Amino acid sequence: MKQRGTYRLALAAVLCAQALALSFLEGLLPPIPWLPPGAKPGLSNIIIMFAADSLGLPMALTIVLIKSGFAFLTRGASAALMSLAGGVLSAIAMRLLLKYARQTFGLIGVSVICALCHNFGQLLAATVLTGTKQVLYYAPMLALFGALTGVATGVILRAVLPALEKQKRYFDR
Amino acid sequence: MEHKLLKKTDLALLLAAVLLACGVLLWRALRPQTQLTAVITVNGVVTESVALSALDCPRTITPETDPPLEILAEPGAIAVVHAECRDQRCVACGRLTKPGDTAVCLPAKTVVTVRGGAVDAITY
Amino acid sequence: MRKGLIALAAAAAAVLAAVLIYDGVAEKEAQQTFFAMDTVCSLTLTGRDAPAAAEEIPAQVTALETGLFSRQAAGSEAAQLNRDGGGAVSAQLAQVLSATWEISEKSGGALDCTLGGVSDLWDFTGDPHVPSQAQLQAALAHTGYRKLHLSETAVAYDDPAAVLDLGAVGKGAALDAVREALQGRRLRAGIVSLGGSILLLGRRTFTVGIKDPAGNEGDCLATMRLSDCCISTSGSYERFFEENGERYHHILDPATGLPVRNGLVSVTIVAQSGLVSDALSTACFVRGVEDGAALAAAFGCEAVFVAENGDVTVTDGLRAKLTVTNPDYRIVN
Repeated sequence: MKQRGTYRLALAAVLCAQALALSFLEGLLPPIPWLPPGAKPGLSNIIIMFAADSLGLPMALTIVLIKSGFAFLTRGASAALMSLAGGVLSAIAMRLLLKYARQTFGLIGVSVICALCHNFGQLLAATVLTGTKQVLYYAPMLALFGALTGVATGVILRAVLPALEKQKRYFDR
Repeated sequence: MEHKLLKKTDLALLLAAVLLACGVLLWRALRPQTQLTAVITVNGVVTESVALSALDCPRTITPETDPPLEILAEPGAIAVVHAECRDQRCVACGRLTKPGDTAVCLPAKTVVTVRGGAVDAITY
Repeated sequence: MRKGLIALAAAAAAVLAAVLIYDGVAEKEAQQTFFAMDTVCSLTLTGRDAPAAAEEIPAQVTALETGLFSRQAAGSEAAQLNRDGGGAVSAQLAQVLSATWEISEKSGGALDCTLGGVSDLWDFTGDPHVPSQAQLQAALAHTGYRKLHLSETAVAYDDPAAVLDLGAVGKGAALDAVREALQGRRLRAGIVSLGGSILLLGRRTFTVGIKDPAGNEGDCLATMRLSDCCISTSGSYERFFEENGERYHHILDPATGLPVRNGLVSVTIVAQSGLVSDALSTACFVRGVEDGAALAAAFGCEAVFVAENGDVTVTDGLRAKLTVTNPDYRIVN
């Protein structure tokens, strides 16, 4: 049992590194004009979603926390708060979906909901940070953007799922 | 993990999200006013940024300037209502309501600008 | 287990590399608003060096104003020339003067940088009033750009009472100096406005509005999509006063010393050089639509002429980039 815990931890660490790598890869993309600064496709959601499913909510939230800590180191406190709010909300949404609506949605549906929750969380954080409701102006654009990127991450998730599960089996001793 | 990529409920969800977002965008486009922000700059430093569209009651702003100015921000508009200088050009600008509208008080080194439009700069 | 560690190390290395790259390409934006050259100036720069560059520009513009161009600033080179009736000049001012002289010559005298005495009579910036015909004639006797003899290091005045006034080219020349100072800085795009004379930097396409003379501050009659150029406008609405029911504006005809009355309210010039756009906007206003368009073409510049009745004349090269946004105006050519 103790052995198994170690493997779980190792898997979590690898997933965490992969999430960080993905979030930085997308950080290289130029800012998108009519979206608020900080709006990203959310590729690392692929990993968070997989983690929420295979390792459970606490581990997924730990990855989210580490990811926002990384955002804090590289892009400052406000980026970290936005990352945290978006990540926590989407991880919780993921967990709830898996628990209560496992058969209702396909991968695209789950991804879209996660992306929308992610964006909504970021927007909430931005609202708190700036202290104005002005940023809610971006909400509809972000929703469209979230739907689009949700579909994209869903498709990518489907494509990399075999690889992720193979990786997971490697740690399932 | 569920391996099925797309289900009917997914399509319904996407449709709902897109329709809702487009609905809000359309409603906003049809509304005459856009989101307006007034920026007050004194001596090159932004001293106040007022979200005009989000105001629900008029608000008087008195930046620390010499000569003193009195600026009135209302929902959707901002105006310099009183200036203790000779030329009164900023008061003459009246209510600023559109993106790009600007009142300048050279003696007080103060600029009041409404932002939110698509023009990067104006030549005059 | 070893494979897992290797994967972890590889992922960490990838993240580290990504951090370094991210920091290298990080986009920074800096804005400034300041007062110089008797007007409001503003700038927005993007790119790695934007914050540092934006800090320096206000001081640079003020230094150009008080050190070179402004005849009202006692220590400036222009003021010294006027006081001494000529003398030595810096290479920078010599260059500005010779470029101005060339435009004066090619415009048939529609631009004259020795009108200082005449504009002092009108006193547009202080207590404006209409001078008498006798006063005007007396002042006009001491104008004429040909009375200045330029070399690379000095200016000689034929007439010691001539008053050099760089009001029509100062902002444009300052834009050129700003552009030169920003060269070599790591910037992606930038927009600098010195009282309505605009410099666009980088490959980004900006939307520049032409002020609606009849509207409020900030109202545009047309917008242009432009990149990497300078834009200047001369408008009769900028400074004016009324006396005995007559309206007098500040764009003076060098031949008569009186405000130009040819039906135009504004002329906008798009050029590579700030000085050329600034100088030509005045010269083309004085010459009127037809001669002005030919003059702009001679310098390879584009122009927009706006008439009092709402007629807008646009040169061919600018036509596709210009959109009239106010229905009170229409393109007539």
